[in-house]
Amino acid sequence: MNKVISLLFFIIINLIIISAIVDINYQSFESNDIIIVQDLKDNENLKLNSHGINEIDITTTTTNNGDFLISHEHSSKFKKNLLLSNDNNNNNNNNNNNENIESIIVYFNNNHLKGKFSRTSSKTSTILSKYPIIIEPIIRIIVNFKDGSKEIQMDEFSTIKTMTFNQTLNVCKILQSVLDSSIQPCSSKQSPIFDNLLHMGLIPKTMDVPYFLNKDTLNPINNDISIKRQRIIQSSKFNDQSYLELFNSNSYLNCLSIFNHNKLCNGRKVSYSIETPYDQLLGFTLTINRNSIEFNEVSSLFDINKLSIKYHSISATGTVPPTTTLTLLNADKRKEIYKLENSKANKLETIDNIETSTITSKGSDDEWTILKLDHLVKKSGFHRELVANITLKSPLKDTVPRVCKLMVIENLDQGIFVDRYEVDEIERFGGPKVVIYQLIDLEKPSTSSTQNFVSIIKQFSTTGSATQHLEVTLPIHLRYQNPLFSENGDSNTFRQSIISSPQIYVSCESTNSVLDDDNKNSFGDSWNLITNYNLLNDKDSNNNNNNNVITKSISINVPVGQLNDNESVKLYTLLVTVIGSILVIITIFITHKNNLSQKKK
Amino acid sequence: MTRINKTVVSNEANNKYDFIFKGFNLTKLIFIVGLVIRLVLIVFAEWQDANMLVKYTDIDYVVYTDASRAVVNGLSPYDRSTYRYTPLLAYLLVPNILIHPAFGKLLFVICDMIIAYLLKGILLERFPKITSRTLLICLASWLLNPFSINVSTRGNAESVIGAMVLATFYFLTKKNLTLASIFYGLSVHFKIYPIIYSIPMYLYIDENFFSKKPSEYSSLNNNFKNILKNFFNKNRLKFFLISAFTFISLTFIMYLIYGYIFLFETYLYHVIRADNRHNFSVYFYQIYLNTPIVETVGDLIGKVNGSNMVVALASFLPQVVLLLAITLVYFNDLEFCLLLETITFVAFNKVCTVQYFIWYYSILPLVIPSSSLGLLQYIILFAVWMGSQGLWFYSAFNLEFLGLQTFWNIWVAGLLFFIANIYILVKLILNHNPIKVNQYLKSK
Repeated sequence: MNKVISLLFFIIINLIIISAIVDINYQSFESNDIIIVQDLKDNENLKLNSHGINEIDITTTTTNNGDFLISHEHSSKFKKNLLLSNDNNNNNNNNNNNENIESIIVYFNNNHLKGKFSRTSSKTSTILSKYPIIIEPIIRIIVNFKDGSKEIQMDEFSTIKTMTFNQTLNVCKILQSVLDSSIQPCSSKQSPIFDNLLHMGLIPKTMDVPYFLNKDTLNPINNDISIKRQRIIQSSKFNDQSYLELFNSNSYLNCLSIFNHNKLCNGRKVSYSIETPYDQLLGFTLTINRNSIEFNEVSSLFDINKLSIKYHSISATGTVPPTTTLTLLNADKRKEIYKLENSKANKLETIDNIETSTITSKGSDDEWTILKLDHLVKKSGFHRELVANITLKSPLKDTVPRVCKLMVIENLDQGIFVDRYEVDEIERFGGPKVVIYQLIDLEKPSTSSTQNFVSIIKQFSTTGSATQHLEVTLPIHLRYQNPLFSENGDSNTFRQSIISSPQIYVSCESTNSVLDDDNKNSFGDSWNLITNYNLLNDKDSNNNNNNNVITKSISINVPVGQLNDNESVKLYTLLVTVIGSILVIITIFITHKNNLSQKKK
Repeated sequence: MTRINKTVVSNEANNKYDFIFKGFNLTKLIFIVGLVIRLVLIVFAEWQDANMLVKYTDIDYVVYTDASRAVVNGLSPYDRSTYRYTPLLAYLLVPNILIHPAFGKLLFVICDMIIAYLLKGILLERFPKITSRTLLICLASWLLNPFSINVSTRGNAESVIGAMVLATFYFLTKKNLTLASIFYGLSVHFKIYPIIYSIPMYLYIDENFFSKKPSEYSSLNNNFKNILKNFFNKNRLKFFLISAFTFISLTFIMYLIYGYIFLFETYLYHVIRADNRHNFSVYFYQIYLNTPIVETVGDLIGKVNGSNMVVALASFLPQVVLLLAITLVYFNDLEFCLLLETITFVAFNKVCTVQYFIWYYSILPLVIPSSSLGLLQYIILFAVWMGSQGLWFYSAFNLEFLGLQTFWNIWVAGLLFFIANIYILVKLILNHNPIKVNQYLKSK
C-alpha cells in the first residue's frame, strides 16, 4: 500500500516537473575566449587584417589557398549553481541529490576516418590532441560525483546498480537545458544521438575519461571496489550529420560555438564568430561545473584563402566584457598572439621557433599503423563472440624483436555483458586477458543494466616482419530486453544492441629493460592509441575499398516478446492452469471416494 | 547380550528382502554398481575439465567452490555473485579448496548413497510386505537413475537437500521425532522449498504417533474431525518447535555473520524472483510480457494497473487450492503426498528449471510399491514428460542459439509441459492404492 502511495506521489511530482519549462538562464559574469588558428600547409604564413569595423580577416601570404585548423576555448563563470536545475529550486522537492554532482562533461569526437580531415591532411597537431582520429564519431557523457557518493559506489556483492531514476532525471534535465535536445529519460522521445541516460555505467577515474588517451593512466585495473569511479555513457549510433541538431538555434551549445555563424542563438553570448563556412567540426568538449562552464571546439577549413572573424556586441548589460585572445600558429614555427578588444586586434607578442611538436607529420617512424580491422560478431542467438581481426604494421625502426601487448577497449551497451568467470577461465586456458571495469550482473534484463567498457589484452612479439596479424575474441552474452508492440502484427519482434567500434592501443617494453623482469611489472605499461590507418597513407588502395574494411558500430538483433500477444497469453495461461488444477482435484476426490467405498465392501 | 541378538535378528530379517539372482545378491550389488558408476564419472569429469573448454562440471559447482574459496580467505561466500545458498554449503565444501576440488562431488555422491540407504529403511518400515524384487526396482530407480547420477557427479548439491528431506521422513518412520524435526528445520534452512511439506508432515504426526506403526498409516483412515480436534497435540507442537528452532537459530546465526545479503540471496531472491528469461514455467511468457517498462518519465504515468493484481492472484490460487486438496486427502500416505506436492509445486512455479526436476526422483521410489502402474506405463509417463520437454528444448534452442523469435512456441511448449505434468498427476492418483490397514490388522 505504501508503495502505491509513494508511486502516485512520485507521478504527481514528475507531472509538475514535466510541466515546468526547462530553461536555465545562462548569464555569466565573466568570460574568456581563446581562438587559435593554425596553418597546416608548409611554407606559408598567416597575415592578419583588422578592418576596424566588425571583422578581422586572416589570409595566407601567398596566393595559394590554405588549410586551417581552428581551436576555440571558452570559459565563463557564473554566480548561480549550474548543477541545480530550476524546477528543483522552485518545487519543494526536497531531493537535493544533485548536490553530489561535481561536473557533467559532454565530449564529442567527430574526427573520424570518413571525415575530410583524416583523408586530406597528412599532419596532426597538438591543438587536436583531444580529438584523435577514431573509426566513427562518438559522443560521451560523463558525470563526476563527489567521492563517496552512492551513485559511484560499487557494492561488494552481486550487482552493479544503475543511477537512481531521480538522479538520472537531474542529469538529464541539466543536459537538455544546455543541448536543447530530447534525451531519455526526461523526454519520452528517443534521441537520435544519445542513449537513455538510465544506462550510464561506471569507469575508473584513472582511465583518462573522456579521451582514453593518457598513456600511463590507462593501465587496466580490475573491478576493485575501492577505486574511484565516474558515470559514463557512450553513443555512436547516430549518423554523420545528426549531431548538427545539437547546434540548433535555441541551444546554449550553439551560443558557445564560434562556428555555425548562420544560426545565431538568441542574444549571442560569444563575442566573435567565424564567418567562413567550416568543413568539419572535429570535436567539442563541454564541461559544466558548479559555477563555471568550459568549452572547447576544433574545426578544419580547407582550401580557402580568407578567414573572417566577426565581432558581436554583447547584448547583456552588467556583464564584464569578455577577454578574447587570438593566436596564429604559422607553419614556419612562428606564433603570434593578439588580444581582441571590440573590433581591434592588438598584437601582444611574437614567439619564434616554437616547439616542433606542435605539428607532426602522421605516419612517422615510431607509430603503429592499422592496415586492416575487421570488427565482427560471430555465432547467433544470445551467446556470441565479438572478434577483432587486426593487422598492424610495426614502426620501421623496430628491427629487434620485442614483446608487445595489444589492448582493445570495447564499449558494450546495456543489452550485452561479459561473464568475468568465463573470461577468467578462458585466460587460464591461454586466452587473452580481459579487464572489466565494473561489477556486472549476469542475470538482469537490459532495462536495469548499464553500459560497459571492457579491455582485451593480448601479448605478441614483433618477429621482424613488418606486419602483425592479431585476432582477439571476447565471448559476449545478450540480455533479455523489454517486449515490443509490433504495429503491423509481424511476429518477428526484435530490438537492437550496439557495440561501438573499438579503440586500439599498443604497448611495447622498451628494448633496454628486457633484462630485468622485476622492473617491468612495477612500472606498468605505457599505452599508445593507434590513430594511423592504412587508408590515410596507402595510396594503392582506393577509398571505396577501405570503407568496407573499416566497420562501424555493430548492431545485434535481439528477439523480444510481442506485446500484441499479451491478452491471449494471459487468458490461455489462466485457463490451462485453472482447468488443470480443477481436473486434478476432481480426480483426487473421486478416486478417494471410490477407494473408501471399496474398503467398506 | 540381548542387544547383539536383536541386531542379528534384524539383519536376518533384512536379508530376506535381498534379491538373489543366480547366487548374486543384486540388492547389495546395486549399491556397489551405483557407487562405482558415480566415482568413475567424477574421475572422468576431472579429465574432461582439465583438457577441454567444454566442461562436464556444472557452473553451480564452480560457484560453490568460489564461495568456499572466499570463506577460506576469510571473506563472505556472497562475494561470489549468483551464490544463492546457505553459507553452510560453502562451509561443507571448504575441503574443495584445502584438499581437492572434487571433494564436493564425492560428498554429493555419498549423499546419493545415504539417500538409497534411507529409501531402503523407509520402504521396509512402510511396506513390510514388500517383495525383494519390488525393493530392488525401487532402489534401482534411484541408484541407476541417469538424472540423479548426472546431477551429483556434475556437482549439483541437490542430493544434499534430498538426503535431508529423506532423513526427516526416515526418522519419522523410526519414531525419532526430535531428529526428524532437526533434519526438517535444517532442510528448510538449506533450501526453502521443503517448506511445502510442512503441513502434511504436521498433520501426519498425530496423537498416536509413537504407538502407530508406519505401515498402519493410510489415507483411507483419515478422520477429519480428529484433525481439527487435535490440531495442537503434544507431538505436533514438538515437531513445530524443534524444527522452527533449528531453522530460526541457523538462519539467525548466518544473518548475524553475513547480514541482509544472506537473507536476500538465500531466501528473498527465490521468493520475489520473477525471472523473465525463458524457462519451463507455464507463467514465463505472461511474466515477461508484463515486466514493467520504465524507460522515460512518461512511463511512470498511468501505468498503475489493477488487472495485474487480479492476474497475480489468479495464478496463485490454483496452486494453493491444489496443494491443500493433496495435503488433506493424502497426508497419511505421506510419501505419495510429498511426491504429488513436489510435482504440483514445480509445475505451478513462476520459475521452473531442469534442476527442480531432481526433487521428484528421491521420493519416487517410495511410491512405486503402492502404485499399480506397470513398467510400460511408467515408460509412457516418462516419454510424455520428456517429449513435452523436448518440444520446449527445441523452441528454446531456436531462441537462445539461433536468435529466432520463438517466444510464442516456447510458451506453447510450456503449456504442453504443464499439461503433461497434470496428466502424470492424474495417472499417479488413479493408480495409487492406499494400504488397507484394517484388513492388515485383522489378518494380523
